[in-house]
Amino acid sequence: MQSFLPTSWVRVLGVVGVSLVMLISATAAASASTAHIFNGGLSAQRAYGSNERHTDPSYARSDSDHTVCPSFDVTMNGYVYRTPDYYQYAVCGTGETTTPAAGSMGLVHGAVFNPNTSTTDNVANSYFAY
Amino acid sequence: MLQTRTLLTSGRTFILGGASLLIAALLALVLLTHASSSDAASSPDGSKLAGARPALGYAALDRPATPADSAGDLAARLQVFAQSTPELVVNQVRLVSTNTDRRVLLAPRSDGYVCIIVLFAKGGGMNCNTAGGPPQVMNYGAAIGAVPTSVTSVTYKLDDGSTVSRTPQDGLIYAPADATSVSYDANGTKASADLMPKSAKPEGLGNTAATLLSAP
Repeated sequence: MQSFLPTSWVRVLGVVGVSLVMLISATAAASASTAHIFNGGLSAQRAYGSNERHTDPSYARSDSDHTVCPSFDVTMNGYVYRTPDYYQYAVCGTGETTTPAAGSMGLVHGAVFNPNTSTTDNVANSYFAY
Repeated sequence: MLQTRTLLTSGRTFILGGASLLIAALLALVLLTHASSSDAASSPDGSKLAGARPALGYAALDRPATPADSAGDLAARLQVFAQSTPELVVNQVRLVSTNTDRRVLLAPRSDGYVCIIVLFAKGGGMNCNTAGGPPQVMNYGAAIGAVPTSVTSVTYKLDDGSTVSRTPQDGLIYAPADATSVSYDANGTKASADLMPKSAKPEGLGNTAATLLSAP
């Protein structure tokens, strides 16, 4: 049975198709998923976390006008205090602060903790990426 | 017959032209994306940095690169910070201090801010001076920050109300365990930032990061 299209057309269409598939695949691979976990005021000594669990986040980041500790949580209980050693290696800071995951983390929540004893944080942007 | 052949030929030319244009557009897109993402990083002298902000002026960032600045696993470990902060100029990161527990690095950003990165054997962190104070990473009872070269002394306020002055070491400042804030004057520009004194640490919270951030 003879094809509707000449062979050269089929080749051209094939090349275009493959190019499109490669482009779409590359774009999908390059874009990491990001979950925002908090926006707004976080009073002193309070923590806040995402409701959803995510697999193997690579980092947590916050942008705040006071000191916060962007971090991870695996239990949703207290975030900063009652979890395995992910927090033991977390660092805090004012402004844009990033804490990378300390090894493979599995299923976790994103969390942010305001360690200040009297000031409320205006966390403009806190999220983690996985 | 001739008319049909002409139609076929022009149709084929049309499709071939369209396909070529599509492929060219895709290639251009890929190349442009690549060029824009690597542009800031390839700037050898930091000229991409906005001048008004307290970028540069840090001895470590003003010196030429050495092999130590990119030795071992540094490049790989910096990738996560580049991912979190695309403004980071990764190929201008400078190693400032190292010991068995940690490596401390400074990194300029394409928007003029400066970041301090502390890498432990496991974990670590980065903070950028986007809030006006020095870039510094901290935990309860410890903090490591960076100050401009012009700063010869910083003042820590302690939780008993007293103050203590410290001299930067290689452009780095290390907070006493009981410090509640730090301030300094860089050529007339005052900067300050809150800290996390050890006395504020809640019961039951581990302090591995604080230990790893302690002064040498």
